[in-house]
Amino acid sequence: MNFLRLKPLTIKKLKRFQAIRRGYASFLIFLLLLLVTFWGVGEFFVNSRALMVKYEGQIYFPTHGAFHPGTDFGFDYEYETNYRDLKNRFAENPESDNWVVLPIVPYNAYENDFVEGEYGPQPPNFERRHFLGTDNTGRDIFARLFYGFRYAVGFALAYMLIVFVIGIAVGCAMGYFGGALDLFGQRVIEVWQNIPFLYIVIIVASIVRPTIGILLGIFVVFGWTSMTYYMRTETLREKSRDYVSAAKVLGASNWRVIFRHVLPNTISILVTFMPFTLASAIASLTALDFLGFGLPVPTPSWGELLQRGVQNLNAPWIVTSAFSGLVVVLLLVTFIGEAIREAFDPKKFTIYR
Amino acid sequence: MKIPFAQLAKALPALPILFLVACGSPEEELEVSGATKLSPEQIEEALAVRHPGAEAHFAENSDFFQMKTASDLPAGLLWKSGAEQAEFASPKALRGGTERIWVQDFPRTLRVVGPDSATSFRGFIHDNQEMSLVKKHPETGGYFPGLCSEWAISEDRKTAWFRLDPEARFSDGVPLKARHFFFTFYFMRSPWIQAPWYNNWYSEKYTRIAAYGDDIIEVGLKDAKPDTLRFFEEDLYPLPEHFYAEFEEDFINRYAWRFAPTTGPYVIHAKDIRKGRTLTQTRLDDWWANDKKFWRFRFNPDYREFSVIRDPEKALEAFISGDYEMQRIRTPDVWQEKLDKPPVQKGYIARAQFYNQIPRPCYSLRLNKSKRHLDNLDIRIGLQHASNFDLVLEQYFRGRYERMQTSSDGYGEFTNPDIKVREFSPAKAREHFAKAGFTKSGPDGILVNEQGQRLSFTVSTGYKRFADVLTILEREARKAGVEFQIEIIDATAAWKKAQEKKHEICFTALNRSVELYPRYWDFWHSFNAYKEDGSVKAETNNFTVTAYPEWDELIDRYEQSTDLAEIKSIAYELEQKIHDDASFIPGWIRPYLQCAYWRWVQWPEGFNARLAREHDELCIHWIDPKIKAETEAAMKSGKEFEETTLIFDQHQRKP
Repeated sequence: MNFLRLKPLTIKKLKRFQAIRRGYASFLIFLLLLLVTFWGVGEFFVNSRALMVKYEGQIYFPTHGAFHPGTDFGFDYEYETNYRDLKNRFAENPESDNWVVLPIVPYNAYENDFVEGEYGPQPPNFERRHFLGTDNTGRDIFARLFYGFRYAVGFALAYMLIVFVIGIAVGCAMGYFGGALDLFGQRVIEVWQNIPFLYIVIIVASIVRPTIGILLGIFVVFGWTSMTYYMRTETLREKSRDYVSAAKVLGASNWRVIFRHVLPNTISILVTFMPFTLASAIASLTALDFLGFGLPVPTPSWGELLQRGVQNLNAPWIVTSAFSGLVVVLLLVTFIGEAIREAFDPKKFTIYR
Repeated sequence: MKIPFAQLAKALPALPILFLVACGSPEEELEVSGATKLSPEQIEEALAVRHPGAEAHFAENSDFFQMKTASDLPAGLLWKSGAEQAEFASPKALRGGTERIWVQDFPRTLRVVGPDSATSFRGFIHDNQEMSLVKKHPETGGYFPGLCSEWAISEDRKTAWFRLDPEARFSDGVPLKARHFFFTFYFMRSPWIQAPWYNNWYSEKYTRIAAYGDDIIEVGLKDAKPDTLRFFEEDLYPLPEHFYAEFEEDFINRYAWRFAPTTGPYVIHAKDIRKGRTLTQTRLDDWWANDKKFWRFRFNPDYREFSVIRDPEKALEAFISGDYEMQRIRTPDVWQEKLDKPPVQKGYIARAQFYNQIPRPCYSLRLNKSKRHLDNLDIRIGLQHASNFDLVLEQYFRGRYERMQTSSDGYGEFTNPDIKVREFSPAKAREHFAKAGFTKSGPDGILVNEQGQRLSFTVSTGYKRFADVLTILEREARKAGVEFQIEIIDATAAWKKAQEKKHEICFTALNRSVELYPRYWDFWHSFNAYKEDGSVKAETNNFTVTAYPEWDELIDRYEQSTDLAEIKSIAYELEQKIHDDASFIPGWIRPYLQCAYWRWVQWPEGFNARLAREHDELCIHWIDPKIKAETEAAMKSGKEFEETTLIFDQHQRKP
């Protein structure tokens, strides 16, 4: 993977990116969010399972691994222990040295935490640690937002990766080899782009239960075309440069020319597109969820949360949370994108009129 | 509308009407409408119209369509007129005013049969206002006359006679004749209406129609049923042959926007249709049934104005801001929170809850016994104990709905009162799952058996609005060690999936009309479960794929029986068997109807009738102009009234 080795020029660009403070700060925040919500990590912050339990002299770490039935901790049920109940039980009995450490938000994204005699969505309650309130089935909004972010960003990253790989391969091939492949490829892409993507998703979602894999598949099938055009033009441009001709004259193979010479020089366009692709993927997934054709229930998702918020305008904390979350993430990604674009702009000192 | 010459020629008999209607204003579109009053000469001509296709059909099926004379009428018929029934509308009702109603979709046609006609709007232009021979009394469940003045039923319950009301006429002034019922049969059996259900119903359920002169008809029924008149309360209504003079192959399009003459109180003028936006119904001032007992004091507003709002949430806001007179309430959150707004608090809008007694839509989980594991009785009983509808009712429905106990709640004495649904109990569920071999828990808490199979089922449904209910059930089922994978798909796709028996568990409800006793054949007879080659039968409602010879025998007896005592005892027995079989997990019932209305809408003393399904079904409300003026003045001046929440529990079933 030679083309990934950073050139001095690229390093300079990255330094420039670092110097753009708004973009760089956004990047760091986004990275932090990603890290905190990452698979395996997020469970330490938002989870119904305890971080640590000491019971009858033994220490348990229930966050990961197999579940502990209630009977493990002296309850009379065989299903998963309710650690909040456990904590309350231990608290009633202070002389014993049993204790529980709960995560900051002691709820997962699925469980219904109903309060007897209270109906409908509940407003934020710090005592019960529902920091953003609950929805109308008693699920914690923060937990749903938290894990919804994981799904949205995970989905967007996977989408970006696949689309870029396909886009680069097809675009490069079209631009570099040209001829019939280019002509034919362009027509295929033109036709393909005209298939209404939304309808396909709606049709599929109405017939089968759309899993995240199916959704990703559909998104990719209809999303790969956009990158090909940029890659094609970029490759065409680089191909006609003298250094490519020189490499060819020296006897470099197509393979070598593409990977050693052409691709490294297109990296700026790829990097520039990354954040925007990410943002659009998050927005599309949210939109689909909002319309009810996205992730299967009860998967936590922002679109579903927004939809629920709109249906329950008398519980403003739902719609506010989902909306603010979405705005913040999209803003972050956009700031990053802006900064990257600026950093990788070769015409640094040009003034646009 | 342009009428090609060739078609015009076929419709010759109707020509005079067409031209005369058109003469009024030559610039206007040529309009064939049942809303236009005809002159005496035109009425004569209209009565003389004979559809050639109908004539031929009658001649071909002379066994079915019989012409007799008054002297042929069997002697000794026991005529009844429903006079013993009490009126249910209020004599205090005032005629007049405009009722504004929102609908989610603009009707795609004014036809009441054929494609696109089965919408909720049909209720307004047909089901709740078109008159039929008799109607079910909404309080007693008996019958009262509609288009007939009296009726008689033969001893074998296979023939009914009706003496048509001499005053009955269509909205265009054409008097009702026996011939109109003949035409109904021709029309409803025609392939041109593109309605197989009607084709089948009018071919299969009736054996003959005979006319004794112009004003007495006799109808033969294929099966003897205890409630014979059920076949005449909704389905047999007269059709104006003169209006359908152009009835032919292109009926679906040609008649899509023509308003058919009706025997009911409201008509629609062409000028009142703004497609996609609004539609207004106008009350006939001289409606023929204005003073008839059971019909007077009803259908009170002079105009009913329909407008389209696609989003129910938005419609609710529009209602609260005063754009509509009434609002149906379907869910507890609307009743409690969403209506908790100033107009309600200040008493401008009232809320009413009325306990009715109707067969309930059976929201339930149905287990497909042809699928893996679900053929095991212990698994099914385990699933019964694993479904926490109690929590759904308690928390999600705020304790305002009741748990359904049997598969046919709400049939009065025909509902077995001794059956109690199995309670939610993870321990009991696990006990039964263990008997079926699911003894160990996997790492995620879901039970597995010796072969390593997880106890996991897909629950399919088309109800997006009940997604929350299913997620609660899914969470709770985990406590019993069973996984529900929720599959919410398009309503049509979900229905098809269930009909093809491709589901494992389906969550559905079927709406039921008000009937005397429940139906079992559709859901529990082996005829609807398997084909002769042993494969599962599609396109039936036996969602549990139940096929037990012993049940078949009972159901067959039940279907044929005319003895209500026997029907009741079989119903009890079947209900017990369904309970023991455990493939039907009862959900919830809503034992009442709820609505909110601006305070100028007035109601009879008891608010509504026992068998009413919706608040406006019987059209017994009225608009009081004085109260309306008073309220509007109060809103301007800021004067407040007392908050009004009415509960009518005279028909509540006490445990």
